[in-house]
Order: sequence, then C-alpha cells, then structure tokens
Amino acid sequence: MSFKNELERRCFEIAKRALGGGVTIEHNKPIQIESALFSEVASFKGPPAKEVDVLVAELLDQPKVVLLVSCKLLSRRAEPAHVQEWCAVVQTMNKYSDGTLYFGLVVSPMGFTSGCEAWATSHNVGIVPPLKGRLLAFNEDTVLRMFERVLIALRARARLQIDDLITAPAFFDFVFRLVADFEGHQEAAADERYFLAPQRWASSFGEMYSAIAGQMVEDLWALEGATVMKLSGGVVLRFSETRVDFGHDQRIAEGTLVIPQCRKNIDMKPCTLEFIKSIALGKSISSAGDFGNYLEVGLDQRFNLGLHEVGFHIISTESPIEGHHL
Amino acid sequence: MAIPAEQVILVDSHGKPIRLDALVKRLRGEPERILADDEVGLVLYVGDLGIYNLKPIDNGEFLAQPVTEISRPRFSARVLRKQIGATVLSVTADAVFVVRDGDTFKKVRAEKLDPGMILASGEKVYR
Repeated sequence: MSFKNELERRCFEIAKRALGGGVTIEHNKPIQIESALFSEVASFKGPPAKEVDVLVAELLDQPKVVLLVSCKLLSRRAEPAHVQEWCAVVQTMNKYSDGTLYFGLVVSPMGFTSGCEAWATSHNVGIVPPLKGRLLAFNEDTVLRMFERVLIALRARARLQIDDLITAPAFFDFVFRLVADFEGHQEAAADERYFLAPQRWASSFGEMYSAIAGQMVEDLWALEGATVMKLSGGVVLRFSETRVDFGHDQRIAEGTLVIPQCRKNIDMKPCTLEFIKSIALGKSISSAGDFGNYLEVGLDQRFNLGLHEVGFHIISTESPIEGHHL
Repeated sequence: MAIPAEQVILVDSHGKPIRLDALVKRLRGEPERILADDEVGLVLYVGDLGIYNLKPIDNGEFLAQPVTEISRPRFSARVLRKQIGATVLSVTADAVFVVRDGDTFKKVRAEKLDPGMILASGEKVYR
C-alpha cells in the first residue's frame, strides 16, 4: 500500500483499526458509476469517470453501504471547492448506484472555511473537524481522533439503522454531533489536572467528584510526592499538587511509601496518620473542594479531610469550633 | 452540546416521562446500542425505542420530536439562559440555532444569539 502523504497513511490505519477489513486507499482512481444505463450519462467516451484520491471504507455488506473519504492535507483551511468536489462525487455515485449506498466525508486537519458548511449540509457530506461558529483550531491528533470516533459510531449505526441518514442534512448532522463535543474535551484537557484511570483520560473536577461522592474512606497513605485515598467500590484517588488521578485502577496508588506530615484542627497542630485514620476511615465523602495545593473532602458532613502533597489534615466542621477540637 | 442533560424532557410513545439517567444506565448494558464510549463521552442509539423529546412551544404545549441518539458528553459546556418566544430555556454556549438574516438563514451559536433575532421557526429571541 502506498500513501501520498502522512495524513493519508494515518487515516488508512485508523480506518483499518476501526472497521477491520474493507478499507482501501486509491490514488488517481477513476471513480465510475455503478449503472450506466441512463441516456444522460451516454457519451462518445462511455460512462463518466473522474480521477480522485479516495479512502474507501465498507460500512455494511448487506445492503452495501460505503463511506468515501477525502483526506485533505493542505497548508491552510479547506475551501468550498474542496467540499463541492466531494459533494459531486458522492451525489453522482448515489444517483447512478446499483444498490450501494454512498456517504461522503472530508477530513482536513487545518479545518474548513466558513463557506464549506452550506455545501456540506445541503449535499449531506460530513466534515471533520466541525465548523463551530468561532475560530477553533484542533491539532492533527485530535482531528484524527474525531475521524476514528465517526468511523466507529458509523459502523455501529449502519448495523442498527442507516436509512434515516440518507436525507440531507441527517448524515452531516450525525457527524457533527459526534465531533462537536471535542470542543469541551479540548478545553478540559488543556487544564491537565484531573485524570481518569485506568484510561488516563483528561477529566474534570465534576467527574472526579461524581466518582468519589458517597464512597467510604477505606485507607489513607502517602507516597513520595503524593497522598492516596482508597475508597469503597474499588475507587482510588491520588493527589499531588500538579495533578489528581482517580478511578478504578490500583496502579495509581503505587509508589515509594513515606511517612506523611499530618495536622489537625484549624490551628493545624501536628498529629499522626493513625489519628487521622481513626476518624476518617469508615466515613463517606459528602463534599469536595480543590484548593490547588490541597484537596479537601467532607466526611459525613462532620469532618473535612485534606490531602496535601506531603500529608493530610483533618478538621471538625461542627459548631462551636472550640467545643469540637480533635 | 445543545440542551444540558438536566433540561431534556424525554417521554415514551405513550407520553410517559423517562428518567434519562436510568435510561442511560439500562442501555449501557446493550453494547450494540453504544455508538461511542470514550474520553469525549457516551453516545447511545435509541431510534427504535419510540422516545420523544418534548420541546415547549409558544402556546404552552409541547412539541414531541423523535430522538435517535442520546449523547452524554463528559465535559459540560458553559450553560446560558435564553428566552425564545414564550420559552425560557437553558442551552449550552455551543448550541446551534438557525436564524433569519434578510432573505437567507444562517447558523448562530447560542453565545452569539442576540435579542431581536428571528429563528427559522419564526420565534423571536427576547434575551
């Protein structure tokens, strides 16, 4: 298999990974219509043919559903002409099809100019990355993740129901919905603070709290440069000043054990880890707050447990403060 | 994208309300329905289940629109409150509306939707 450029190679490999077999790539391929038994396509040279570079992905065998992908490696954003060309190819293939249903997709890591959307919408061609009404730049890796997501979803969708995507702009909208949420993901990933284990996916405070809320504290310990909280349900949270890892993966709790610095009460008097554990273990997480250099969780709405890079603190939240010193 | 999950009103073909969280939890157990489940979020196919999204309209009634997919993005976008016609609704900042622009239509993100704009449906944006 030869590739014209690196983008084509990566798109091909992604398509093979996502769809298994039935993926081919062809250069200067004369795209020919399936059925030429129409008087309007008769000419002295035979049925119309057009040379294109195309990644062909078979989504379904019976009935035959094929995705025609155009990979545009450009130095600037794709223009309407690039989309128009693909619209014409897909439209013609469908018009003179012998039973095969064709969908079209244009992938352009540099993005698209705003005029492209109307052509893609009206001709029901998907575009990756999406146009989102403000100038958003996605890096090539993200664009290729979008492409992979679309292929995986499309393969599953084709097996369930595909006819409702034929009428414009249903297929365009389907692709848009699958890739539109990358905007929020990209913003969250830029923070690089919360990570969901074991996938190591970029995450958010909200998702972290959803994972730990209501879980019971089962154990606490400190590692070199981090503290760890083991919770019921197999959830583990590891805190360091720069990142918070959480999820169902015991490996994030691994490291060199150290003796933590432990404090208690508002005045942060020194105490032992055993003292903090005697209060915290068995209690459920009822709130959380990220203060940057430490993470604090509420326990049974009675105590606040703080996780620092070098240790823990515990405070009673009951009033009056003087009467509830630990 | 579009309307935050907590604002979506789903009903079955008999008009009986559906709890979205419970539905998603149940459908997660049917792998063939999962179109995507990755770092971006979860997308489930529900086109064959007769599920409708209720959209409030000017006269106080609801318009039932069939739902083919349910999307649960892992990262919620900024939420805005908009009054469109008689309806006040919460939408994410990247929700797309089609508005009239002279003799043509154009797409506008919710964050750029200004009072006075007229949607393709004829509804006016008040705030």
